[in-house]
Amino acid sequence: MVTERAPRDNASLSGSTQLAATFRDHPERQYVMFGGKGGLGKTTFSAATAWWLAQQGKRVLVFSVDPQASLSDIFQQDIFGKGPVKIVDNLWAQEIDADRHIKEYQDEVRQKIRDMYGLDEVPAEIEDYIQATSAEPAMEESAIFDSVVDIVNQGDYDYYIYDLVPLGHALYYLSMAKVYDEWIGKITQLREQMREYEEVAARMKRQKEVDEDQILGELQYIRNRINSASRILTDREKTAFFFVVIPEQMILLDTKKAAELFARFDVPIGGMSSTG
Amino acid sequence: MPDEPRPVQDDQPGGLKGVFGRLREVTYGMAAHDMTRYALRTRASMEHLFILTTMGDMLGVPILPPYYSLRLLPYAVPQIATWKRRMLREKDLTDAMF
Repeated sequence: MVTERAPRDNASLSGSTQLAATFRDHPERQYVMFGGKGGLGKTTFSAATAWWLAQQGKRVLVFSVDPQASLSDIFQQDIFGKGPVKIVDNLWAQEIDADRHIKEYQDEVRQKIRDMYGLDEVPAEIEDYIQATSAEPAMEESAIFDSVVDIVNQGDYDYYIYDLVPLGHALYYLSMAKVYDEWIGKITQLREQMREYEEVAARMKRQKEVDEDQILGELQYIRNRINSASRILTDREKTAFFFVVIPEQMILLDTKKAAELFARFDVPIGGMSSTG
Repeated sequence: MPDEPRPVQDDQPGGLKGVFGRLREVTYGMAAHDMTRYALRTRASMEHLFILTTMGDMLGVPILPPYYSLRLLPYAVPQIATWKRRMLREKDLTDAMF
């Protein structure tokens, strides 16, 4: 296992001890991510790093959102969709079941509709829409990052080691986050304008205060969630992203491209780790 | 209109207060009723615009991934039917007048 030059540190690294050194030198890097093409050793690096940190007495959670994740294999126990499972002292592992997360989330929405309007069943056209959302592209990415926000916000661990799915997901989410943010800005404006009209009407009819717009509250909540998710990915102080590579030209070229894309979205690159 | 504001409660329906109450209602009807109607209509249009920008994929208009739209869905439930009707009905020039 050889780690190569870490661009941020300007130091040449060789050997797994060097990866350890980056953690010793930068104890503030709580969110550690391993990304790269499939089959290059992301899970191996994630698990080894988590193991090492746990040995140092840190509370560590290593987690993955890949439905074909190998954390279960590497720790030799089935942890898929079971929440954080304790592996050894100080080390927990979790494999997020994105499909289940989406189903539970949809059920919450259904329940909320039934409660709000005192219905036994969700109206058919609404139900159709809820069901159709599962098939929408990027629903999964949103669900994944939403559960990552949950995990990190709980703050139960010193280190979060994120065994990433192949790079596309993270980039897609980051690009979405920017669009989402603007979208929410626009619809918040629209809601506020709507409120002004409502107030004008209420004043003229000499009614008392209009009801608080709960949607505005929800929009605020959504914005916070999206911002926390992209903050976790782009925090220059706390986040370190490692590309896992093998010394093959195609892999290196591909990683270089990915690194450029990541840089565009301000993801702090911690270094590259080679399994070759 | 059933949602017309009632004047201040008057103890003597036929008294001076009653007269003022009626007068106020008439003044409201002449001066402010149209404006109120306009404000409410604009608000309703905006409500539909809001649903379109958050849940447009219900009509096949591709909108952002619906993960977060789902959070807003419960609040829009009562308006969905009228919204769909309004969006999908045929429109002509006279729509602009009324």
